[in-house]
Amino acid sequence: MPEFEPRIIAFCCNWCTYAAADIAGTSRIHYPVNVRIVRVMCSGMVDPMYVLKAFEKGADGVLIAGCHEVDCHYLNGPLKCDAMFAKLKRVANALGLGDERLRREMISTSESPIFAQVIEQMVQQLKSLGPSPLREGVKV
Amino acid sequence: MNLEDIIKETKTYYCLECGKCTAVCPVSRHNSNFSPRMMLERALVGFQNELIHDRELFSCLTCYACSKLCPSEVDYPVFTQKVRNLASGEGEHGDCTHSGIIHTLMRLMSNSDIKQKRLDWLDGCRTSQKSEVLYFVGCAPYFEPIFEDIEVSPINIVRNSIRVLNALGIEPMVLPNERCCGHDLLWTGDVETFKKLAQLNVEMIKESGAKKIVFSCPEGYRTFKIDYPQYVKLDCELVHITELLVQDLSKLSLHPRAKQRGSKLGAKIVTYQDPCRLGRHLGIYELPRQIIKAIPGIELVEMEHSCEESICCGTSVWTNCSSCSKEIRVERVSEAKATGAELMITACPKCQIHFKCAMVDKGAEKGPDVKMEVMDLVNLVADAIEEGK
Amino acid sequence: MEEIKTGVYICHCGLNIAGTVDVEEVARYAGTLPSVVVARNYQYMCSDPGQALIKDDIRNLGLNRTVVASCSPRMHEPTFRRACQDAGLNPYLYEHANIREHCSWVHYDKQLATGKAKDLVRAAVRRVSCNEPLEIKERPLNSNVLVVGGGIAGIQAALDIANGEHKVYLVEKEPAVGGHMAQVDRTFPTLDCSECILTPKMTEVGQHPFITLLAYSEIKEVLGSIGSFKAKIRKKARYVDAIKCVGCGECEKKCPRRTDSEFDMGLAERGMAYIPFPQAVPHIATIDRKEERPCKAACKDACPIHMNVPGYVSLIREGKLREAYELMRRTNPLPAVCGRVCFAPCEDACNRGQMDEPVASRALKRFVADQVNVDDLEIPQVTRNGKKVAIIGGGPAGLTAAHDLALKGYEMTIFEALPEPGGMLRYGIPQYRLPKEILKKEIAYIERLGVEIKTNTYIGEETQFEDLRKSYQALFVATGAAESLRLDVPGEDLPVVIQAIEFLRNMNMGKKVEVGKRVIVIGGGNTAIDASRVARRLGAEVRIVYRRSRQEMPAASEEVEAAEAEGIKIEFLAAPTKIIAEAGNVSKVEFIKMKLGEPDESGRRRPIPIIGSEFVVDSDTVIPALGQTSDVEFAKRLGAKTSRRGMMVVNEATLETNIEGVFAGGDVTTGPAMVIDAIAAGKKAAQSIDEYLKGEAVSPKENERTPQKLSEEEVSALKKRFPYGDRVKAEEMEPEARIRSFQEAQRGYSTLEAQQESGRCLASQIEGCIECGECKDACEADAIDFSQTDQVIELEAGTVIVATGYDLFDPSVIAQYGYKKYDNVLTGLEFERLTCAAGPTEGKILLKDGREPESVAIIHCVGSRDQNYHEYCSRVCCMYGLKYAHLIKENTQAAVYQMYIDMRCFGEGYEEFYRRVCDEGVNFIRGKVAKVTEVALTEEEKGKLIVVAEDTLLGRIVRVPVDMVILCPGLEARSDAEDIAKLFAINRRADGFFLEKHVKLDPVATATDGVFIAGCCEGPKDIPDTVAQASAAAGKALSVISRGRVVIEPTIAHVNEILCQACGRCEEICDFHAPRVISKDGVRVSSVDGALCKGCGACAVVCPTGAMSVSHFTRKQINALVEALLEV
Repeated sequence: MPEFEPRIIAFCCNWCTYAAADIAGTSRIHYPVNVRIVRVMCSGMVDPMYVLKAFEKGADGVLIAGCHEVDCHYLNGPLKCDAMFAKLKRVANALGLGDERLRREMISTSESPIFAQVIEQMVQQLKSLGPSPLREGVKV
Repeated sequence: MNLEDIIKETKTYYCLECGKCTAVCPVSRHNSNFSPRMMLERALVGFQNELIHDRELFSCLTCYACSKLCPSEVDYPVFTQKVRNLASGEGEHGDCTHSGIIHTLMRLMSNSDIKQKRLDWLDGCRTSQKSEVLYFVGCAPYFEPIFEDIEVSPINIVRNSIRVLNALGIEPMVLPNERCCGHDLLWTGDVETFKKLAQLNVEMIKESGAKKIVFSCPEGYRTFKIDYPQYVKLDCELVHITELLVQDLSKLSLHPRAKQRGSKLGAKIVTYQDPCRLGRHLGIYELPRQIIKAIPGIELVEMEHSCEESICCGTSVWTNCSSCSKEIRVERVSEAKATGAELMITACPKCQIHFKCAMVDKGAEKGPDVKMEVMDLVNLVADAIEEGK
Repeated sequence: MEEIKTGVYICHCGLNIAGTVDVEEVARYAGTLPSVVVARNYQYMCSDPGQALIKDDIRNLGLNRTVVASCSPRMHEPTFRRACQDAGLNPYLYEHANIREHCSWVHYDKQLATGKAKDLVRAAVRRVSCNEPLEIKERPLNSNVLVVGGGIAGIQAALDIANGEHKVYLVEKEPAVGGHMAQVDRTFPTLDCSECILTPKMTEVGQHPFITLLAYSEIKEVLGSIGSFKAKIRKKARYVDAIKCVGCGECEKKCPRRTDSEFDMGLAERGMAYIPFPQAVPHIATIDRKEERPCKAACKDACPIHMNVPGYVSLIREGKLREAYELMRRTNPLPAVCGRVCFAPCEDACNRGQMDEPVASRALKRFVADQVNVDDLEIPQVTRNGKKVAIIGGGPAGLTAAHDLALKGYEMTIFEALPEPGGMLRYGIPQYRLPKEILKKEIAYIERLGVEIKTNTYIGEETQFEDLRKSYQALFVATGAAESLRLDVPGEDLPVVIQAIEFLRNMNMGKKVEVGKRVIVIGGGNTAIDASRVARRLGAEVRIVYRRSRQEMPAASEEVEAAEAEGIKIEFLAAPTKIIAEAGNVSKVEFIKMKLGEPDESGRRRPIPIIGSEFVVDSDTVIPALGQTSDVEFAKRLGAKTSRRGMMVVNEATLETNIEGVFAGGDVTTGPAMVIDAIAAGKKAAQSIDEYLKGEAVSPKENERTPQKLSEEEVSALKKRFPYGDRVKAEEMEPEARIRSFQEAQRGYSTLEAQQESGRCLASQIEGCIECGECKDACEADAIDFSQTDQVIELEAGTVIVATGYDLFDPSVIAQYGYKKYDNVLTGLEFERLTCAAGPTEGKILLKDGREPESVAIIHCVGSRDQNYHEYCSRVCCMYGLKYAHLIKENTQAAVYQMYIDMRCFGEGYEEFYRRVCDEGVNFIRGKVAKVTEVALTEEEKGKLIVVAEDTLLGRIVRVPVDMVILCPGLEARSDAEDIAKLFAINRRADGFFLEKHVKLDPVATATDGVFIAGCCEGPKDIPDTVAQASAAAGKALSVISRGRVVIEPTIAHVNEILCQACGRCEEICDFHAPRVISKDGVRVSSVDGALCKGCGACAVVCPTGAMSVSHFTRKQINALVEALLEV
C-alpha cells in the first residue's frame, strides 16, 4: 500500500509568508507537494474556526504563518495571532489532537528557504504520526 | 421527515392563529421580523422554501414560552427543531456564533477514534472507575478556554458538581472520552451527527456498566431524557443533580458564607433564573429553589417573571445571537437587579455564559450598566459545603 | 438567487506551468466542477489575447464569476480584475489560483503537481462562488492642512501648501515660530545669516492669507482620519491682547522679574513679559505666567502710592537688590525715609498676615535702600521743557512733586521757610527714628535732578506770593501743618510749657534744649510719643497724659510700645484743666478725669469730664502735643479758599485750588497726616500740574484701591502649601541703651535676614509672572489682560504634516566634559548666540570673564555615535563644528582644535568647506575626547581648560590647553515625541524619532494615512534636507488634496448591525481605531471608519456573534476555500 501522504493547510499572511512562498517558487526551492496554502491578509485574521474546519475536512496538520512582530503590515497582527493560537491549542488538546499537528511560524518575505524547510519538517513529522484522528468523520 | 409529517407530529394543524405564542415570545418582543404564528402559518400554507431560508428560523430560542400557553398544544419548539433539520439539508445553519467553532467541535467529537484529553481538571474530586453512578460532564472542557475572556468557568461548575456528589457520599465515574450530548446539533438540525454522538455515548455508558447518570447541565439532561430515546436505547436512571441534592439536603452541612477566602458566594439576597431546559422543558422549578432556601444566610427573591413565565437567557444553540438577544438579556438582568438581589443564581452554564457575555462593554462610549454577579447553583452549594469544612 | 456561471482559465505561462502541470487535464477537470460553464487553457493568460478570452466569455456566455490559475495573485490578480471590469464584471467576482509559484515551480512530479493544481483550481472555483460584488467607496476630503510645528520644516510646508491656495493651520507650541533655525547665527557651508534667510519666510507665514498661525498653542486631541481630521487645539493665554499689542517691548523693559532667555540659551535674561527675539513672528508680547498669584497683593492696593511691594520683595528674594531699589524708586522718591518712618499700610493689609504674620515690607524697603548709595545713582538725562514751577514748602509733598516734575522736564524751585528742606521729616521726626544724613542724601538726589531749593524763604516776607505767580507758570502749595493747636487752659504760656512741635524742632535744629526732671506730655499722637521719647533720652521721667483710652490713641502702636519699654508712663482718660506755676521751674498741672461718651465726627468716642474728679500732678516741664494746624494766612490774603479748621480747600481729585494754576496738597489741605500720604499728594499734584501746563484738561486721579482679603478657604489652602513662618525680627537696641543715645534704635536687616523675610512673601514664592502690574502700567496700548484664559479651538483638516523638530542633547549628563561645571564649556547652540550680532555679546566671541579666547577646542560627536547615549550619527555636527572653527578664525586670533572621530562632509559644498577650513590653519585631532579638566599639570596649562584625548593618528595621548571648549551635541527626539506620536498614531523608532511608512520608498508618509512627517522629528538632518523633506510632505499632502476625495478600499471590515451587540471587543483590539461603538438612532452598534480600517481582520476574530467580518475575506469564503482544498 502507498505511503501515507499527510495533507497540510497553511494559512499564510499576504505580506510575508505568502510572499516568501512566492519567492520560494521564483527561486525554484522545491518542497513536498502536501501543502495547500490559504492566503489571508494577516496572521491575525486566522479564526480558530478555520483551523478546526481544516481538521474536520481531513487535514493532518495546519500551519499558521505570518510576519515577525517587527514587520507586521498591521502593527500587531502576530501578537493577536499568538493569542488566538494559544486558545486554539487548548481546544485542540482537549480533542486529543497532538501538538505536532498544529504549527505557528513567523516567516518573512526573505525567508523562503525557511518556509520550504518548515513544510519539509511538518511532512516528515506527520508521516510518522499517521493520519489525523479527526479524519474519519470527513463527509465526502 | 418532510414538512407534512412535522406538521402532524407537532399538532400544527390545530393552530388557531390566536397569536398567544407571538405575544409571549421574548424574541418577537424585540424582533418584529420573528413570529411563531407566522412561521406556523407559512408551514400550513406550504411555503417550505420561504420557511427554511428565513434567517429567523434560527432565531427561535426553543424556550417553550409559547407552547406553554398554546391553547392547541402546538409544540412549536419541536416544530422548529424539525424544520431546521430540513433547512440544514439545504445548507442553512443560521448565523453561528464564535464563527461556528462550537458546532465544529461537536461534529469533530463524532469521530469514533478520537482520544480526548478532557479530564485534566479532576484534582480535588473523588471519582471511581467502578461506580454505578456516572456523572455526565458535558462540554465544559471545551467551553473553558473559549469563554475565559468573560470570566466564566464551566470547569469550575463540573468540578464542584463532583465535589457535591462526593459530599453526598457518591464517588461517580466520569468517561474519559465522553462525547458532546449533541443537544446543539440536534437543535440546529444536524440530526446525522447528533445520532452519531448519541450512539457513541450510549455505547460507552453501556460498557461502563453505570446504572444511574447524573447531570448538572440541563441541556444534557433534557437530551438524554427526551431526545435520546427517539434514536438510541439506554436503560439507566437519569437524574439532575438538583434532584439528588433535594433528597439528601439533610446529609449536607450547609453554612452561610464567610466574607473571606474570596468566596464567590457573595450575596445575601439572591434571585434565581430558571433555565428553559430545566424549567419549561422538564418542569423542574421548585427543587433549585428549595436548595437555595436551604442555605442559611441567603434570602431568595423572585423576579417579575419566574418559573413557568421566566424569560430565557436570550440565545440558544450558538446561532443568531443578535442585538435582539442582547436586548432580551439586558431586560432580564435588569429584572434581576430590580429585585434588589446582588447575585443571580442559575442552574445552566449557558445561562451564565450568555448573561456574562451581555455584560461585556469594552468600547470607549459605555452603554447602560448591566453588570451583575451570576453564579451556578452548584457553585453556590459547593461553597456552602466548603464553609462547613 | 441567480445561477452562478463560472469561467476557468488555466495559464501555461509558456512552460513555466505547463512544464510541470498538465494544463489540459486541469482545464478538463475544471470543466467538471459545479457552476463551471467554461474552462480553457492558454499560453499566456496575462497577454492581451489571453485577457480577451475572459472578456469575450463574460460577454458571450454571461459569466458572473471568473477564475484564472496562473502565477501569484500578487503579480497578476490586478490584471485580471481589470479585465473583468472591462467586460462589465465586478472585479471582486474574480478569483486567482496560484499554480506557478506555489505549484509548478516548487514541485517536480508532474502527476502530483497536476493534482495539486486541480485542488487549487477547485478551491478557487468554490471560493469565487461565495464572492460578492464590492464597490470602491469615496468620501469627500477637507482640503485644509494642519501643520504641527513652526520650525523651518513647518514653515516651508505651510508656505508650499498655502501658495497652492489651500488653507493651512500652522500650530506652534512656543510664542513665536522659527524653531531652532532662528537661533542659529550662520548656516554652513554658505555662511549666510540664518535670520536673514529665515525672517522673510516667518513674516510671510505671519501674513499669508491662506495661513492661520496658531502660535503658543498645543494640540490636545485628534480624531477622525484622512480627509476629515478633527483637532482640538489649546491656545495658551498670553495675557496680552494680540490685537492691541504693538510689540513695542515696553512691558519687558518694565518687568521686574527676569529669567533665562530660552532663545539666548540662558546667556541673556528676559522679562516675564517678553518677546522671544527681535524678529519674532507673531511680534507680540507673551506673559510667562505659570500660575495665579497666591495672594491678592493687598499691600500694593493699600499703599497710597501703590508701591510694587510684591515686585521688590521678590527681587530681594532673588538677591537682585539693585533692581529692587530701582523698582521702588519708580514710584517713591524717598525709599530710605519710608523704609523707616512709613506707618506701612502695606503691612496691615498684607495677605500673609491672614496666615501668620504680615511680611515686613517696610524693613525690607529700608534694607534695600541701605544697600544703595543714593549719591552714586545716575541722573537720567531729561530734556528741559522750559516751563517753571514753584513749590512752597520743602516737605515730603513738595519734594515728591518737585522730583516727579523735574523728571518730566520742568524747571523746579522749592521755597522752604526753614534753614533746611524736609519739613517734618527734618524738623519733626527725631534723629533716632530717621537719621538726618539719610534724609539729606535723598534730598540731595532730588537736587541733582536740577531742583533748586531756596531755604530760609518764607513766602509772604521778601518774596510775595504774587511775585511767584508772575515768574512761575504753576504753583504747588505744600506748606504742611506746623502750627501747634493750643491747650486753651490757664497757665499755658508759663515758661515750663513748651509745644511739642517747637520742642522737637529745636532738638532737630541742634539748639540746646533742656527739660526738667519730671516731664508731662499731653496728647496721644505720634508727635506726643516722639516728644516724650526725646525727653526721656534727655534724662527726664516722662509721663504721657491722654484724654481718651488706649484704643483711641492715634499714635502707631509699635511706637507706643517702644515708648513704654523705655519707661514712659501713660495716663489715660485725663485732660489738663490748668497749669500752676510754683517756685522756679517747678509747676503743678491740674487734670480732670474723663469718661467716654458718644463717638464724635472722627469716629472716636468723645471724652466727657467727670465733675469733681480733678487731681494735681507735679512737673518741671509740660509738653502739649494736641496736634497741628496750618498757617494759611498768605493763602487767605490771596483769596484762596480755606476751611474753618484752617486748611486750604482743594479739589481732592486734582488738588486744584480755586485759583487758576495754583495747586495745594499734603498736610496743608488734609491736616496732619502720614509721610506716605504727603508723598501721594506730591505725586498727584505733579500729574495735575503736568496736565495743566501741557494745556490738557486736569483729570481726576482716583487711585484709591481697596485691598482684597483672602477667603477662609484660600487661607487654609495656602497654609497647606506654604509652611508657617514668623516674620524675621530686625535686631533692636535694648531700651536702656536706647534712652542713653539718639542713634537709630532699629537696626536694619542683614542680607540673610532680608532674604529670609522676603521669602515669606507669597507672591515671591511662585515661578514666572507675579502679576505685579508694572507691565500693565507701562503698556500704552493697554494690551495686558490678566483675565485671559486658555482657549480650546476646534478645527478640521484633511491632512496633517507633523514637523515637531528635535531636542538638543544635554551634554551635562557627560560629566567628564564639564558642561555646566566650567564656565567656558559651551554647547554649539550657545556659541551660535555668542557669534550672533543680535546676541548677548553683540556677536563678540568672549569668555565668561569678557576676555577674548586665545584657543578654542571644538569637540565632535557629543552624545552621538556613542552606545551610552545615542548610537546614531547626528549628521550636522561635523559641519557646524567646521563653521565654528571658521567663525573663530575670522573674528579672533585664537588657535582652533577640532577633536573629531570622522569628518562627515557629505552635502553640496560641504567637502569644499572642509578643505577651506583646513587651509585656515585649524588643527584637526582625530580622537574622541576623554575629558575636559581644569587640573593643570604644567605651567602653561594653568588657568586653562585642558582637553584630554588620544590623537589616534599619532597614537599619542594629547592634552590641549584651551580657553574655550565648544561641545557639538547631537540631535535627539523631542521629549514630547511620544505624546505627539500617540495623538496621530505615528510609530516611533527605537531612537524615539518618528518612523516613516517606508524608510526608502515612502520617507515622509506614516502608518496613518494622511499624516506626513518632515524635518528632524523624523531624524537628524541639516536645513537643506529638512526643507526638501518639508516640501516633499507638502507635495504629498497636495496630491491627496488635488485628488479631492478619499478612496476607501472595499476589502475592509464591515458590521452586520443585526448581529452586533456593541460589546466593543472590536474597538478594543483594533490598532487603527477603525471600529467604534456608537449609538445610531438610539441603538448602540459598532461602526467602522472605512478610511482607518486596513482590513487586517483581527476584529472579526474576536467578534463573538459574527457581526464583524472583512469583505472578500468572510468566514464563508475562507471556509469554502479550506473545505474545497481538502475534498478528494
